[in-house]
Amino acid sequence: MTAKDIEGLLNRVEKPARYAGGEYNSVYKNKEDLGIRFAFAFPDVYEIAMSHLGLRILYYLLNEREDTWCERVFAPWTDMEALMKQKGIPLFALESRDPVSGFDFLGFTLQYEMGYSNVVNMLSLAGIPVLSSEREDGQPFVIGGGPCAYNAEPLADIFDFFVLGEGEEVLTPILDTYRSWKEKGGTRQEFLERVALIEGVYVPSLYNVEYREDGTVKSVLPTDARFFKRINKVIVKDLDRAFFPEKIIVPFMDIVHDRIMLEIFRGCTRGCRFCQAGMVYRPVREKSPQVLAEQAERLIKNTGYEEVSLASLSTSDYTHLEPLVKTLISAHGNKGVGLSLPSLRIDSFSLDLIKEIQKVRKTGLTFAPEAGTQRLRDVINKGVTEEDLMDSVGAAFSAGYNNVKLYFMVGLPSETKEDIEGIADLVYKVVDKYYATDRENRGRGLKVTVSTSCFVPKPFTPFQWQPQDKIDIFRAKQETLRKRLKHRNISYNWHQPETSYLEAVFARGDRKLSKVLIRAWELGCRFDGWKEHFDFAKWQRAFEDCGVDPDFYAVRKRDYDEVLPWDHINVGVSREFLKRENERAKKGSTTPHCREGCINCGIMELFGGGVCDASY
Amino acid sequence: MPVIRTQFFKKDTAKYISHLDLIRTMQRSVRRADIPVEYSKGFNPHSKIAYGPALAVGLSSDGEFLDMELKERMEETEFIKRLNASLPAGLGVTAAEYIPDGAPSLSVIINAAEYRITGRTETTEQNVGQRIRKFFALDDVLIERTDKRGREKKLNIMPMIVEVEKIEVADGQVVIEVIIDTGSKSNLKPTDLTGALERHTGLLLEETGIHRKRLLVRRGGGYLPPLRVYD
Repeated sequence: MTAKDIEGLLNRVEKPARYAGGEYNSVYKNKEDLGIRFAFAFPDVYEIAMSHLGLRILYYLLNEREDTWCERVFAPWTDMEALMKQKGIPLFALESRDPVSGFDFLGFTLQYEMGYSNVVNMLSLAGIPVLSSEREDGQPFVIGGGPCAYNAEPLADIFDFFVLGEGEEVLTPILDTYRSWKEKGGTRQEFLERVALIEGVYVPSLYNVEYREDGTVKSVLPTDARFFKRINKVIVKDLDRAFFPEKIIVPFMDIVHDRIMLEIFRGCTRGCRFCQAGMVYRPVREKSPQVLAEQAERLIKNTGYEEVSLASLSTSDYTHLEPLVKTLISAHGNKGVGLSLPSLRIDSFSLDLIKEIQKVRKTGLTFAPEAGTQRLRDVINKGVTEEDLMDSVGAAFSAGYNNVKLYFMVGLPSETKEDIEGIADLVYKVVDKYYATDRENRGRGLKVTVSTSCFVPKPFTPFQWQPQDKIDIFRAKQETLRKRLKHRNISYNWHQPETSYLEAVFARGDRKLSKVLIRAWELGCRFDGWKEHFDFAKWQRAFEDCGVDPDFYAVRKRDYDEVLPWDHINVGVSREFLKRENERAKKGSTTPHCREGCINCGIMELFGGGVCDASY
Repeated sequence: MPVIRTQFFKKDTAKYISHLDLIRTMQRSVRRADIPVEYSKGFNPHSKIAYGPALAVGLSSDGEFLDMELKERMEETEFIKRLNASLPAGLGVTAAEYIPDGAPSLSVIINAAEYRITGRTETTEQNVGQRIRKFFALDDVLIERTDKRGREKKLNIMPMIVEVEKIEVADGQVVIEVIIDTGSKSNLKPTDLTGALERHTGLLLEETGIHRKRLLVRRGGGYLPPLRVYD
């Protein structure tokens, strides 16, 4: 394969900029001086992949090393894939256009389960054996990180190892270990056994899983006493001093989040019981406004971006939000640089803040009440009230906003007909609020976009023992809402229940699913997160072919004494805490957020005092 | 407000970016370069930069143009230096001059472009040069085009070919240089031209490359560079 062959393909695909590379701030190095070639992989198309903050950070972290060149590789869209197969061009890295099969590492970030079939497809396109056990010396180590790595059991046969926790902390020791292993010329197995001793590294092939007769897990044990019995995640303790790039790649083409993402804190002080991110990213750690202002200054200067987005799980919980917003706007507003605040919580939303942002750039507003009634919002511990929502949308309408998005979930534990009707009731109250707003102040032409997703119980959440709704139940609930939400100001979107079902299977899956995944890929499954490519019938066939019952994973209620496939992974939040929270959910009692008092989630036991910013 | 007319090239990886991508890339490059560009008013301010006729994805060019409105004058050489330092690889400014107040926009004056089309034919093909010359001598070559309402229409492309400057064939390597209508009034896509050429000559061009040498202002039988057209 030559560079010219790739050029020939670029002229024939729909969006060649996805594969051309050469973006501003992308990193090019001299191949001759390198010890380690690392391909940072994202199992989706360019537009999605490049929107991922972790990639943007770790790309520069790895490229800081003189011995390493980190490049990018993403899932080629179907038009490109067809051409690559036709011309015999293997999966190549964006920067050097070298085949990734010759790299030292192929590191996938695993953000959602629906990308798994793309992982298999990318390995196949690269000419790398799909099964870890079939890889030989000279082939890359296939590694994974990101939220799905916390329960990566369904991928255990495919990946060589996983990185649990924050890459900034663990990638450096991994690469140092790799270098010394490579210089001595050891076997693959030797490297895996060495890397398994690093905190935060999980090598699934060094753990044996035994099952009970009913198909549940009996035990997961290391093959040798040298290896951790439970693998702890690792975290960055002081975010102010953590690596953060001074520049980021500026893509040519429009990507999903085409802006500077300024990470203001990690973790979350809220304890929403359905939310995996809120649990696994604990403890909460803030960056100081001074550090953030400096980072924003440098990033704007080095990228030319026209928008800065404050990234976190719950922006309005940042302790210094108002001063930070004011500082950023006064420093950059006159250069046409706008600010966006995603993930604002309804209760703490302030009109002052809206006005401040609106001086430069007007963005739409999104609120996530998640459930339709107060009872159910208490069950999921989403500590917002109807009054909070009404106050916030009222303020927004008075400030001239006319475009509001509302997010809900259907299928939450204990949900009844009233809760579904409650969603529609709440939406109509928002509409009424708009018409009750003074004509002088409100914007013209209200648009309320309502989205309902299907609840997926996730590991490491209080709902990890809960069953998911069956597909036809989801559909009936969506139908009720579809009928009720017919109104000229309202548009209603809903998620495909089949997708959420499959997500639930893999989220809480075990090692028996590796073969199903590979079978589904053989049948042609890929881009499962894309409606136009998702083919549920093929997945059903894959389960049948492998003799695996997907209902066992999605709709089965687990007992507390069952060994869960991910129990040997320690994310810090304790099983006891999750159990306690699940019990409180059953009673409909809420748990206060961390700043009102420590709720003993377990994170302090893992990392010691002083690490959680919510408790001082 | 001063308006600076700027000539730039687009090649290598940058040739794969669309016109919309180019607009975004230029805005960000200007901000990185700290050039005092004027912003539009309103909720979504954007820098005031106007472009000549768009270049299709996959095509390279040495003669693209834009007009940029500045808050205050800066030296042309400084402008070029700073912008070039912040443009991504494949994009670069080659000339810039202030145009007088009230000078017509690029989209008004530009009506032609010079292209260099290259490609390879099978070496067994006979009389390649002659077949190509015969094609350009035709009076009527119809292509299908869909109008804004989605209706199919036949269109004769020959009147839109202004001048054939060069037809060279050596060892199957073909080089054609033409000036064709380009702009809002009459516009011939170079890919439509190569498509028609292949259909009529029966030749199949491999590894085709289309390069826009420059955008032009065609007036009274001659051509002017857009940089200096003020009326």
